[in-house]
Amino acid sequence: MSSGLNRLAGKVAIVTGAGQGIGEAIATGYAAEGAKVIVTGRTKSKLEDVVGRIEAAGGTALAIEALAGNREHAELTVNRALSEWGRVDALVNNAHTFTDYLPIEDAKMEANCNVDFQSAFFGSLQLMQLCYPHMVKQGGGSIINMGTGFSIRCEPGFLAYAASKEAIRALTKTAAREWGKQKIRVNTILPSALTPKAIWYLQGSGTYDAELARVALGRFGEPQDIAPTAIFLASDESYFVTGQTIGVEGGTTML
Amino acid sequence: MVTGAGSGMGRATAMRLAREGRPVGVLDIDKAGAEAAAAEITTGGGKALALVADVSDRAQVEGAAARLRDAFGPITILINNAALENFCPFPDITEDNWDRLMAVNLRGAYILVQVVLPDMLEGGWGRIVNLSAIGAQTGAPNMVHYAATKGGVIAMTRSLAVELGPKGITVNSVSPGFIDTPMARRAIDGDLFPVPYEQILAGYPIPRLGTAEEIAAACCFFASEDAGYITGQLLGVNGGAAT
Repeated sequence: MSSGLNRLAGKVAIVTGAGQGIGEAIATGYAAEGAKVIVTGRTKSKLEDVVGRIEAAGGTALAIEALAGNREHAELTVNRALSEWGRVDALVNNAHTFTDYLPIEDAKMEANCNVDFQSAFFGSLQLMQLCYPHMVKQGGGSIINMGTGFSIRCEPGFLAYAASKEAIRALTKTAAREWGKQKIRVNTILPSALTPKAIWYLQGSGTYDAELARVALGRFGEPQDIAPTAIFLASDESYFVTGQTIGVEGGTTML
Repeated sequence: MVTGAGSGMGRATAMRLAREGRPVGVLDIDKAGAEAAAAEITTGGGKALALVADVSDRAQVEGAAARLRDAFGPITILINNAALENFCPFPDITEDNWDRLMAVNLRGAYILVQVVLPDMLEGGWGRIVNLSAIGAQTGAPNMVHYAATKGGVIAMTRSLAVELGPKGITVNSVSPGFIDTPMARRAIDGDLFPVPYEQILAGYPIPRLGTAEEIAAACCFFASEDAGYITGQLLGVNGGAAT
């Protein structure tokens, strides 16, 4: 997956939700490109497995149990990056506790929105705020937030998910404008890599074929499809790229 | 195949593709520019062939593509970069001027894709990167005709992405902001912007001109194996000037 060109040599990265899936693929890709990586997530055993695989491949990583959207956990995460490695160059806000399908009129909708917003939007905001002074001091950094094509399309039943993700795009673009002069770049990836749960949902709801038909490249993505774009955005190759939304989803959403 | 590769962003992209080990067709209407870029690549140990063609002329493009195939084999990566720009208040744009920009910037890109497409279809793999422009996203005073051609490039990119996706061909667009190229320098030196260019830059989140190499990096990313699941996308390389 990785070119092994050391495109992130000397950099320190935080990747949230890195115990599996897209987060794991990004953390692994970063380590293969020479970054030291902090992987965060809710399940310690999964994180330790990821760190073990990275170390076995010759990379450097450490695991921190952290719940996205918990400010104390966010502080511990950033403090650990600084105490271990003295800096933080890349922040990938990937963690998202998302809620299930729910019509807007359902009484549980507000509670659902709170779950999505707390983990994904506030989780991203907290880590960005905490990384900011260090990135300023070191002369720059790259922040990569995760959006979704669902928030552009606004599919029925996914308000909480879509609204929190669209809020993240607003956060990305605002931060890109506020922090550009400090050489902190902020971009959004719209990833598509189906989890087993998503596949189960698509099959159960009878929408699998319809969803696949939207993908120009004709196949659903894998976590390994997403990592290279996160590497590009964290690397100095993308030094003039900020405030952008890039879909890595086989041509489903074209912004 | 990189068009408009005799100078600026096209040249930087051709150089970079060559450094990545790809044989490159360096196409430009300017013979001296194409030959100089190709010579620099060859001197540096890369493989390049200078090709002289007006991209709006199908016969010339077919001739250039045939030479490139003869030299290096099937053409599987196309960087549609060749473009004319022009500054003119809208009421004064002539039909000739409009047609010329459309012919080079939009019809040229269409001709190039059609001419190299059989190679990509045959191999079941292709990468097309079309250079659009920030003016098509934000609007650009005195550049209505230019922005319209680049808006067409964006629409063409998306439609090609949908049509060619099932064939294993990705089609994306890099949208440069204010980039330090000979073309931009001519505009700066000619005082062709409605406000001083320093004032334009000061309003950007990253307040400087971009470099041709930064555009080349984005083009080469889209052209790489790494970007295989990305298609129909518009990536602004503009220092945050348009998001």
